Amino acid sequence: MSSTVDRRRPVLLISVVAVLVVAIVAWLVWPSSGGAQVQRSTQGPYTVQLSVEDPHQGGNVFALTVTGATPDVVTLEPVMPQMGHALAPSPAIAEAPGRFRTGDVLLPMPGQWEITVSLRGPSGATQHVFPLLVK
Amino acid sequence: MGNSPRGRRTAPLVIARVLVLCALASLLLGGTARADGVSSGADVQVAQTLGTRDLTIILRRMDIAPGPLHVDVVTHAGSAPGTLKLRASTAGTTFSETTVRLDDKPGVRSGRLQVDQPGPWELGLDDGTDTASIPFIVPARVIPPWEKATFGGFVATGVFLVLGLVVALRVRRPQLALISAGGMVAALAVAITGAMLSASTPPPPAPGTALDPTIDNIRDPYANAQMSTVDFSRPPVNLAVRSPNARSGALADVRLAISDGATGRPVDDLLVHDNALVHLVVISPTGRLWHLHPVRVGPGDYRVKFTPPEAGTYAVAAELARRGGGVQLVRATLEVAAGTDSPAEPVPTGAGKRVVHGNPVDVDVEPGTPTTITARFGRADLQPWLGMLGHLIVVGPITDDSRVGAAAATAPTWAHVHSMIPRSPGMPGKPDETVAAFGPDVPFTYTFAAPGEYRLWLQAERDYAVLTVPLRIEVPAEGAPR
Repeated sequence: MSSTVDRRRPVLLISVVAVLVVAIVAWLVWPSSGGAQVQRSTQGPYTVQLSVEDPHQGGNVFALTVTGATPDVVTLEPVMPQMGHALAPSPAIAEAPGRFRTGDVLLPMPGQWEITVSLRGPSGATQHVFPLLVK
Repeated sequence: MGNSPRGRRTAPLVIARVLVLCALASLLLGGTARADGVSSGADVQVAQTLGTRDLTIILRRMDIAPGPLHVDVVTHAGSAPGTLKLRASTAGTTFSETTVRLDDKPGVRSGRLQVDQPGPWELGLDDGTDTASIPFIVPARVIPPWEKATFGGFVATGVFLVLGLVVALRVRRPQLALISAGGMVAALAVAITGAMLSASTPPPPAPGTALDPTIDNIRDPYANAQMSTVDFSRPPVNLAVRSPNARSGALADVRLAISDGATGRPVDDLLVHDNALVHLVVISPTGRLWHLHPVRVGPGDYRVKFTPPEAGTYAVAAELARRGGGVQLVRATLEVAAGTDSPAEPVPTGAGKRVVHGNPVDVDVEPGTPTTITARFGRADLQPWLGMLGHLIVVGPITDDSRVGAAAATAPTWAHVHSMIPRSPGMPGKPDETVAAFGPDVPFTYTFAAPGEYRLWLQAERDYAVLTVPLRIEVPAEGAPR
């Protein structure tokens, strides 16, 4: 009666060990996953949400959601503060009411960047600065 | 042996005992680790010249968010009564606010705010006329990777141990327990290695001082640990001082525009350094000195108010530190138009006794290279000001006693010397202004670079009043003052 149980035990044991190892590895590795960077800022009439998928050296596309008021002109100005280097502003194009998207914005170096989003419209003009770490 | 009747009977008992031991061990280890692993900040003290009041804002250390944020407001002698509104906000949205009543008696007033999440926050101050905002960071509970490895390893060791015991006692082929034993050794090795490496693991670049703080990098600073070898310093700043309607005898509104020396953009990454965002030293045409702490109104926009008593050219110097490290000094001038002039400040003396606002002070100058200047205040009841026992501003050489401000603006030497507070054993951190137990002697040592006539202003705090002792010292050609 017990022989069939005993033959199954090694399989059970090995699977338990395997599940344990996978669980521990997953727990250790979990927070380092990259993904979308989403940041919000409220100033004056505008609330801006900036999101960028896995910011990296090279071309990045920034998506902006503006609520509160509707701006006419939205530009994005990347600066690398440590290098003392500012890039020319990139326009963000409206793709739906309150939703804007830039073309490929070339970030030539990994490190700490500051992305300034400038909004201009009938409700006023504001500048929102978002820190961004580029890998 | 594993399948003997005796073994079968004792096995549950053994397993139960091992489980209890494992639980006890994990509880003990877990407890100590939580106490060590919390990245809790220290108190942050920020001096602010808000309107006509000199305030010190103390943000008490906080361990966990959401939770209360205790803010102490220290008022100084001569501070007008009134109310001060405090606001905690993040990403431009106010989360909580409270009002602190200030009376005319100097001392500490407390307020309590709430914060709901770790990340970059701003503390807003509003006295009804003037506003200020102080950026600060609410820390997160961070578990470093080595700690995860250590705990994961110990937990896995315990599980493998129990598994091995079960296999050895209950299974027909007890040698299978070796698989569990192997796993236990591996897990133990991981745990011990993690614990041993903990002391030598470099900390990740700190959000706030090295990197721009975001919610993400405050929650997980180890995600950017590979950047820790980068030089984080940033370009120097440009300073524009503007006060178009400044007249002698009237309150002047001075605006400082601080911009990046490389991109021209407003600088919004100033760190609290020596208990202030900006230390602004102003020297009048006849040699009066102010040590003010402009308030931040917006990015690169700092403001301060003071009453210039005489018309003419004032020297202005701002000491500040940007994110990434390094303290810088930027100098400028300020023109004040004629209004109601006060009598000129008398030319100060050198070493010797004098009385400053009712306090007898004996200044001793020990000439040489370097020169040691000691102010003796009589009683050991001095308070720390800006985290120091005393401050000494040295400017010179200055020859024209009627144009001290203009001469100071171009003088080759402009120094800010500190007299430290001795660290009390067993007391972590620095004492704040409520501790009146220091002195009575305040020593400074400074090496004069060139001979000539120097103006010095020595500052220390007693009874919540900053005492300024002006001095004039002649440094002879051989470097030893008379």
